[in-house]
Amino acid sequence: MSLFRLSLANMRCNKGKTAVNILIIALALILFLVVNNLAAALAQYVNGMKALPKYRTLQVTYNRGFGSRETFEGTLKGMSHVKQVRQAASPLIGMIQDSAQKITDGAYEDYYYLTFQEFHPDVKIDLISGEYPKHPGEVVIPLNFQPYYDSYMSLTKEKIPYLNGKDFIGDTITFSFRDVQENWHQDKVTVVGVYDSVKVLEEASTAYLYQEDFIRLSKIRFEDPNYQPTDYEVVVDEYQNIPAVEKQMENYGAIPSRKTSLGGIGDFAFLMSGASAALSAVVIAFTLLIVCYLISSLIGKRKKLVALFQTLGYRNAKIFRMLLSEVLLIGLAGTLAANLLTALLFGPLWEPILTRFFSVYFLPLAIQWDYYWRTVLISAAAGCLIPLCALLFCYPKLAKIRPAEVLSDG
Amino acid sequence: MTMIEIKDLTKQYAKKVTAVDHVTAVFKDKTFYGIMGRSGSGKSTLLQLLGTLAAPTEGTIVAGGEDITRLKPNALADFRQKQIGFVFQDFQLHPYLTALQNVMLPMQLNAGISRREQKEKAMELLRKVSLEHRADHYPKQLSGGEQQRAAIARALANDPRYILADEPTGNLDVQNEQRIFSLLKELSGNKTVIAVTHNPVISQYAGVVLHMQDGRLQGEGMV
Repeated sequence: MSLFRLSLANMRCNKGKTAVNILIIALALILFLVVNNLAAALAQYVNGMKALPKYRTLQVTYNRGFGSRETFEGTLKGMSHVKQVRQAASPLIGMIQDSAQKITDGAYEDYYYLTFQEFHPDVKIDLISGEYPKHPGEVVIPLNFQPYYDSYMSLTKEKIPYLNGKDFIGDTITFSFRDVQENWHQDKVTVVGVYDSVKVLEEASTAYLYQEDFIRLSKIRFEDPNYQPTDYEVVVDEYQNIPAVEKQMENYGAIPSRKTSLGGIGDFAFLMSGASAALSAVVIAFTLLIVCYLISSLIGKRKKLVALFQTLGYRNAKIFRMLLSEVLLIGLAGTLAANLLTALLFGPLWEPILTRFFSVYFLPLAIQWDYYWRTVLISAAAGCLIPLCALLFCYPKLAKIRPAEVLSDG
Repeated sequence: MTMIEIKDLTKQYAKKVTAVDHVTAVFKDKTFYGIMGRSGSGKSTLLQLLGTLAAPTEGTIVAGGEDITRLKPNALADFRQKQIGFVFQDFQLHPYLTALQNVMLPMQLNAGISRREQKEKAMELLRKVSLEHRADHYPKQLSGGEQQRAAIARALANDPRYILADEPTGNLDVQNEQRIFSLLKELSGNKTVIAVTHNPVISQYAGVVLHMQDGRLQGEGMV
């Protein structure tokens, strides 16, 4: 009879406690897997974005003050870390951008921006629903449309936070805005589609507000689909070198019109990874405490069995090995259950959970649930180490069992 | 040949209750000893001391020329494994192992026997106690008498020198009681069997009957 077989027989003596131990470990590991896999997915997402051409580019607006276009282009091309300079591409696409911030009178204000975006041909807006704007006055809006924050836009929908952008398709939005001279303007746009706002960051168009001819340009672009933009796209060799190029531009007197906010989401990813590590540590520590208690009470229930083994001549080390193989089986069962449940259920469930219960629409689309083997291996190690540590902690209790006291009342 | 010699053996609990009080005795080889006494007389404690399940407060136990009261825990475990077979009133069988597996349990510690040999030997022992037809049954599927016979077979697993039985017929009917005592008597042909019991029937089977009262041993065989 193998140690494994004997351990299985011993486990059957306390089926309830064994099941509770497996359940607690499985629940803790599910939480561990979810948190860590999300952090890993987010990190992978940020890294993926950094690799996109869009996040290695700056956009700068040509100004007649810089002389001829050729001189301007030549200067940009001569800057270090600049790989390519090209005119920002057409066609025009109308879109309402996510909220951004501007300091007005010393205080932050949140805005939505109505912009007519020229995208690099390599970069497409991922439409989730509806269609691309084809006519003047048509716009696409972000999925996580949050009119609640915006005080410069009157809407046909109720002002509630985190509305699903899909609900606006077909609606006409009265868009009020003010220019840099603080003059208010109003226009109407029709929502024809919803895009994945995480994949099109806010920074992509905010410069328009600072342009003196913003209104004029906007109007021209509405009315003339063949309008040729004067913006240049500067392709930088590496994402990290964008600030250096920006500085060179500023020294030249040109102001980069588009600043990346990838740093922000990068910080968020970093924060998530730190938070997931902290949360994992708390979960593991808490689980260890519970399993310690359960194994301690398990040994209490097993006194008679342990005493029997002692009378048969089993050394305490051998009994410990027997219990060790038992707790490792418990740990493996918990790990297996956690991984199976997470793999089977979490993938399909996490999008409905986030959207229905937490009203978060953009994360599930932006970050795809994935299974990371490193996380799985760490969870397996944790699943086995938790009961092992608990057993080591409870060993003194095991060593104190005296068969004479347990087996007989003599 | 003298097998077990106890000298001035005393066991006190919390320095107040004296369960075994300066007992000196000799247990000879190949003899069936019956120790009788009332509850609380100290007979079970004496058996635990002989079986090294408890340490004496004073005195010595010499078995096979060696003072076993001086042995360290691991050496005591080895001594129990090789030299002693225990039989308990409530059988103490592993509830989730079959009769055969229960008999094989002490053999797990014997590295010199292969698994196949363990199985063959366990079957042979079950045959000896007329239980071979119940080898694959779990304890709860066995009657009290059958469970005790399985426990005796387990006690014989490592061919020990001593069989120590604590109220072996306490939970059995008359028919099974006779069967168990007969079996123990048969075993005393080549082992020392010491059984403590309330049951006066033991006098019909035991070669030597001793009486325990207030922690002291009286009777034939006393030094």
